[in-house]
Amino acid sequence: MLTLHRVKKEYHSNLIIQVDQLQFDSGLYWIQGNNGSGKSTLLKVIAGMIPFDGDITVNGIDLRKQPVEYRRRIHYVEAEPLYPPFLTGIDLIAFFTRVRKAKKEEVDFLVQKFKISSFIHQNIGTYSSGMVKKLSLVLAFIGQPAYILLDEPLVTIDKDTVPILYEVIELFAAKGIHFLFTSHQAFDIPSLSHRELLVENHTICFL
Amino acid sequence: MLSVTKVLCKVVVARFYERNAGLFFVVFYLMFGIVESNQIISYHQSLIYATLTSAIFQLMVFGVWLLYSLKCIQFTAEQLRQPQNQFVFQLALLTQSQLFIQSLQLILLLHLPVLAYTFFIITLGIGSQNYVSVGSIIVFQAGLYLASAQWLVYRLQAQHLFRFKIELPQIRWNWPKPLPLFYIGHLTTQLPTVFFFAKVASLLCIFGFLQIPVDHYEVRIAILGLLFGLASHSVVVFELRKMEERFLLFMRTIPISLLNRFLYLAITYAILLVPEIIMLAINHVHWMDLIGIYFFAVGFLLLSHSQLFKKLDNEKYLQWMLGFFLISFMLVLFKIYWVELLALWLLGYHYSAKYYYQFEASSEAN
Repeated sequence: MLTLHRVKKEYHSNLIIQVDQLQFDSGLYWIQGNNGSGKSTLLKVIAGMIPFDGDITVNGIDLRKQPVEYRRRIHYVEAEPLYPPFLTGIDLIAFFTRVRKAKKEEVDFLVQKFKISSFIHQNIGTYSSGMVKKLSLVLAFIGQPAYILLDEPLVTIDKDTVPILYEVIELFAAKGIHFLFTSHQAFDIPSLSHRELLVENHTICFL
Repeated sequence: MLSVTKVLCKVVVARFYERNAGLFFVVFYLMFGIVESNQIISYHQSLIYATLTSAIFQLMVFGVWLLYSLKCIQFTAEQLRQPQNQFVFQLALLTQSQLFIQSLQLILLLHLPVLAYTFFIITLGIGSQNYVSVGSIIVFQAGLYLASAQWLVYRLQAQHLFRFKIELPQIRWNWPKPLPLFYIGHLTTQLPTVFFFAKVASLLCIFGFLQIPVDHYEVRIAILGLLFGLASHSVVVFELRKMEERFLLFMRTIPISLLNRFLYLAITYAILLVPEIIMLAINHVHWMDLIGIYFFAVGFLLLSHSQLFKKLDNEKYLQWMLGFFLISFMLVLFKIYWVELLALWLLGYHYSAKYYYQFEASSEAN
């Protein structure tokens, strides 16, 4: 269970989002909202990427008290990720595999599934934005998280990759991994139901 | 055309002086800070007369100016490659002469420090009737500026053909890259010239100090030289911190403790400082001192880096560096550098642990 308690995020004294109490149990959660409503900021807060007020726990593990264990359980991928252009995709995959103690066969499966093996030996600086996005999705699935946060996962990927992403989400959901995602496009995974939330007026509520 | 000049000043000139402020600081100190105030004029007169009367010295000065021009050209090319600066290529729509004048103006603005010193050389040269030397200096500099401006015209007009990049030799690495190589790779592939000049300046500072004649073994000479070398790394440290905020944001989500992150950073700087330690070792610094100096140097750069977790602002950073440098200078003079060593590491970790996750990138980090 992912719990947010009295979470508040401000930028230069401007309130971005405030959540008194919110719990995510199992399954998929689709976070919606207009541009600039604070969806991405909320995901960054949950991922522990930016400072905030309040408390967040995942399965009883507090982000502030056990930051390493917390981060082991929360994976996050940005809407428009940037990686060092001189590294290759395989450099990053190897790095994530090592620090998240993932199994090689699971990583190989992801590489094959997202069809990135043809370019992961090239420098990231030569990738298109869609290729970078595919790499970032692979990185998000490496390891054994409790929750995966996907910020606009459908943006920039080609139409052939969308069903692949759905299939991988289904596979990981079957393993008990839960998802929070933002998207302006409808998410359509027939075998999985999802709950919808709306970020509006600096707060979030279930629809 | 004033609007074009203004834009070029913001895109290239201002950034050039911002990014190289550390280097200018070191050069300024070497030119004006190491001699007594009542001897500054005679010191510079001697330098200028040597330039005017010695062919070898003049060639050395030409070499330094040439390196400076190459640095300007490389920086301009780097700025033009940035995606946010692609609009500058619209200048190609100007006429050939207009574009050349704009380019020359830009080149001259980048060479202002050289131009200012050249003015004094020429004035003294004419006063002392060294007309041949003055003529050669004018011809050399004019050639440098005209060639640079012509290069810029070509660069702006032939965007689709051009590729200018100084590349340092790359070490082939067939194994998974450890984190320190993420940082070092950024310097060798993305900022090779910045890295090269910082290293050359650093090694020259150490070498220069080690030539000071002393009666007996004095470790402070080595540490003072190293301090100047470390100051010339200020731009390297700032660029690495910027890189973290641009390309290594994903590192914040990685399950690594703050202590381990700090140690990875320490290993990075320890690798970067290997040439300086080799330079000290071959100049007979005692190996016991060398170990302490190594930790001192790494601690110095670690603290410089870690305090940038608090605020990533170039101007404030340079002010901080100046103060930090002066305090370190005094502590070394008063022989309390081993106490400073401990303070560098403890403070560095304190800043890193306290501010790593508190920092939020904003527009200032550019």
